[in-house]
Amino acid sequence: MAEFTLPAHSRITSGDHYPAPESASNVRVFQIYRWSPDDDDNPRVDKFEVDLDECGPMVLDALIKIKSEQDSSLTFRRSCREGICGSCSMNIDGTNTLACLKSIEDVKGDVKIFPLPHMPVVKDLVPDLSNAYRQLASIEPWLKADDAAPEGEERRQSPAEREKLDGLWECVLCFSCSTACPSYWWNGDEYLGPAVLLQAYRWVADSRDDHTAERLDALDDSFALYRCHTIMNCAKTCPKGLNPGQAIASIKSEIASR
Amino acid sequence: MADHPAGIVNRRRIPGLGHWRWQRYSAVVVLLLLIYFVVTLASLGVLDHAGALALVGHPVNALALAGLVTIGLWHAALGLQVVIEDYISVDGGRRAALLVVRVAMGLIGVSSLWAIARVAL
Repeated sequence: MAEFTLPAHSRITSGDHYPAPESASNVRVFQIYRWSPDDDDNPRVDKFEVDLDECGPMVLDALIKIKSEQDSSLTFRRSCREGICGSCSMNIDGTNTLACLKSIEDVKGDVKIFPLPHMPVVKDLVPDLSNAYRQLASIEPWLKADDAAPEGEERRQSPAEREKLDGLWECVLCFSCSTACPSYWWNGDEYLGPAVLLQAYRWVADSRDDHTAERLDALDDSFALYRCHTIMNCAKTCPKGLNPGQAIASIKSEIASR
Repeated sequence: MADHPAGIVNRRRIPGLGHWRWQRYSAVVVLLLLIYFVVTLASLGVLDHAGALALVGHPVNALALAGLVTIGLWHAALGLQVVIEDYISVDGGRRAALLVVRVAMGLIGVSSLWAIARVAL
């Protein structure tokens, strides 16, 4: 049954305030969710004042500056800083996105930063994505071919066959879409969520894969696939501009037309 | 055919295509029957008790109304099933809620068909 009250230690409180240097002239406030498993404190929101004249243009630049200069214990994932690795996904200004692709200029007022919604928090802005990764592994996201590739050659595709993978291969598995999906919030243990289903369709649509029927069999489940109610938060939030809802509809269509 | 669904749960697969497909087919039929009844009612002008009896007493209208009630309630049961499965995660609670909905829809359907039959026959 749905829980209507917050568990202990989950109410968010006001946190510390880190002022900018007095010489700063272009100050923005970053409100950042903080929680540590190492104490019994409730989560809090710390306020960091950042001089944008001394900071890069993206939210990730500000986070790195804060960690370097104001509070080294601030914890977040990041790696490539150019929207390829998918590590720095978080909720910024109310929308799940990649901190490295989100311009500070695009946020009006204080920049509010929270971890991806409805996932267990490891620390601060780091969500526990273990279940999502296990769900990804369950759809076997690799090429399954019955025959070996031609000696010394790659497996060939026509341009039209390759085109079917556009809008699918670009996914960086940041899980912004899955954690923006109410169906995934309520039934994340059974529903695979938009990110994993987009990956599933990426292999269903691949002309080189010989296990399409087997993949569709495993996906034809009332909870694994059909919890998608085309709410479309996934497409709205995707920082790469992809449309997981379309991929899910394509899986349903493939199953229905067999 | 896979016995288990993709994902991290260890249970037998519950095929979802049938529910998804019939929810859409029934929606189309209900929409068409609703349009038929709205147009029929609009063409009558003043509708008093005798007029209503005459309307339902016509065999074509009675059959269409019986279809609307039956398929409409079936469509409602399919829709409520989705709501229950979305929001009630306790297995026993989920099954009990589904049973209540189906029994309620069945009772409403039987009583509606009985009322139509009384007028039409």
